[in-house]
Amino acid sequence: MFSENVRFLLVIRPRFVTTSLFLFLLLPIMAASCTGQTAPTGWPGPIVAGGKVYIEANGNVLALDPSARAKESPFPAGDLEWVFPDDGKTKIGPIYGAVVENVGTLYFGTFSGKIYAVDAKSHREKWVYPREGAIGSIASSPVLSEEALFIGSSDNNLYAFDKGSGTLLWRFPTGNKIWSQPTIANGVVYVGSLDHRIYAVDASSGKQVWSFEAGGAVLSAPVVEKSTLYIGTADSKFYALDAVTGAEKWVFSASGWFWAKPVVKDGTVFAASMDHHLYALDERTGEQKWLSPFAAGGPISASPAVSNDVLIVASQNGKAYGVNTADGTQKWIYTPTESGKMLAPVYVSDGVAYLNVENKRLHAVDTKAGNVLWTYKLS
Amino acid sequence: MDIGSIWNNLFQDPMLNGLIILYGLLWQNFAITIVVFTIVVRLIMLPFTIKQLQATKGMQVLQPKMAALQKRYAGDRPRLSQEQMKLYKEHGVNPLGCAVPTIIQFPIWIGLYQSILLAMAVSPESLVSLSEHLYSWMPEITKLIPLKSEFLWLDLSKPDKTFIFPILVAGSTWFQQKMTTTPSADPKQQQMNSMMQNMMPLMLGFFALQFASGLAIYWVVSNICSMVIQYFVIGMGGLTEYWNFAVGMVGLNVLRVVPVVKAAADEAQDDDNLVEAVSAEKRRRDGRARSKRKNSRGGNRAGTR
Repeated sequence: MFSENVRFLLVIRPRFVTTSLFLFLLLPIMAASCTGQTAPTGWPGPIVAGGKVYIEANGNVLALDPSARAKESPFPAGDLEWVFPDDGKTKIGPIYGAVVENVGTLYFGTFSGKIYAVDAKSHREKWVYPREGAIGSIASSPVLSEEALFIGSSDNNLYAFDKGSGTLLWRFPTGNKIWSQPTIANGVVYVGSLDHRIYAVDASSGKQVWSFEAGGAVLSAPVVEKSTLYIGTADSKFYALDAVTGAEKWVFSASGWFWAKPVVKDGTVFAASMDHHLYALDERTGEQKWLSPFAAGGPISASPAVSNDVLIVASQNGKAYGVNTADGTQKWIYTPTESGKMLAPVYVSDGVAYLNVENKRLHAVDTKAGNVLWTYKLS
Repeated sequence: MDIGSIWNNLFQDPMLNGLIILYGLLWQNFAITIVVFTIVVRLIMLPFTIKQLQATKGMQVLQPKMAALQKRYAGDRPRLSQEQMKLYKEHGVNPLGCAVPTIIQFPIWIGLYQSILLAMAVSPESLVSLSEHLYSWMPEITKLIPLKSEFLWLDLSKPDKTFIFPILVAGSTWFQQKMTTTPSADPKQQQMNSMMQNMMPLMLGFFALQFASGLAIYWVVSNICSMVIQYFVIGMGGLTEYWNFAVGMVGLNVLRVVPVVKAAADEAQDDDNLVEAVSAEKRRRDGRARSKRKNSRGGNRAGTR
């Protein structure tokens, strides 16, 4: 009977069969194109400030009390824990990178194209820019100076705001999206753009000081140390530039993109690449310091963090590694119970590393041995 | 090696990297790249497409005879399929001839579609995905990232807010579908055809309101390619009456075309008439022969008497 029906369909309704097959295969792709594949979900990084952990989850910023999370108390446990916005309806959109805290205020930009300042105590909004509508999607964290907040946007601009009032101070245009966090040193804001350039902009006037053309898109946040700027780019190169003039000091080549923000410690620049390796480079010469780079088993795009002599590296293979800064050997490996890429920056505070596993769960891990202290379900 | 890796190595990655290389060659204009890339892929797939269309044409030509069989064996499904199979065999038509080449082309379409989607890298996540598919041994490709997505009034990575491309997607899909769909004598089939005819364009037009306009360009170009190929292989198909109406309106009756199915139906009708005439002639001859035999038997009996 079954074969007869099949034969009937194939013989009498071949067009029906073809169309059905076509729709069967087409619909999931269409659905993916509208929702799944390109829908931004963000990779919020955690931060610790005032004894609380702040992280974005499901379009809200959460304040978590580590002791309550260690006890697995229902969220929110007491006044220390809260959600912003707290109306249960409003979603501020995904965040890439971490919330930044300064004197009791949290600052962050969202992929929905708004910048918020929120009081960490009252968890009330201090200001939002723009009040109506949105600027281009924001895919990085802001950086703060004494008076101002600087943040890049997908509308190609680097913005400067008055930190207290949220008033726009200036806007610096680049040739493409800015998806990386700026950095500030000696009154100059440094930012990379997807237009393949690294810009140095005067923090008070918004005027360009210099720009440097790299061979690929700049996705990594720069680090300035002793008037040298360190930054990796998507042309698989890692640059050391003179922070004052923009002149190239040295360049190191890998075989994969550099997306993670480098770490500079004790004369060594730690640069993680999407070629699965973590490189330790001499800050003066760019030469490798370890016998061989640390192999993480997956691309590294999440910015690592250092705790004493251990560098915590999160990989897209869903594992985190404790790496000895001295010789690049593996001290420990942490494999979360759930699978997922680790794209969010690692945050370290008081010997605890905070890891976001593909927005599924936040893990607090001991940096000495890689033991899990507590976890919190984000999704 | 899992299925995902096989898919990526065989289809996805070559297409994606090819697309980006083409982008570098075509003045880094992604809209032109999508148009050229779609045409190139459709040209590569041309043998399959022609085979599929020829099979479709064969099916269309048999349509009147199929309708007659359906009428004759209505209610007797096994016999109907048996007779139809026989008809296909007699005319050398493979009913799966239009399905198989289409199925072969699916992975290419999906690969092309996904390549365009990936290449646009509208979010940081999609840029991460893109980085996984680029050939690291071709550093020139990485230097082209991110692709410039502005073209005329469009941001190719975002939906077309002017509704122009969603309307073009829906319109071109309708025309393309109309070209392949032929009127069926079976009311049920006809109803289903009409439903598909209207639902598909509406559905794709709705999708085009949501997805990146770069994909809408791909869809429109792909539909135009299909129509051009179809025109040369099976003619205007279901668009014939609209075409004839249009050329009639402007007084260019010389450009009128005869629908394939109508020609086939006339042929079938001619066949039937011929069969009918032959049968009638045979009946007449048989009748004459019978009466002759009868007469001769009557004469013999009379002679004997």
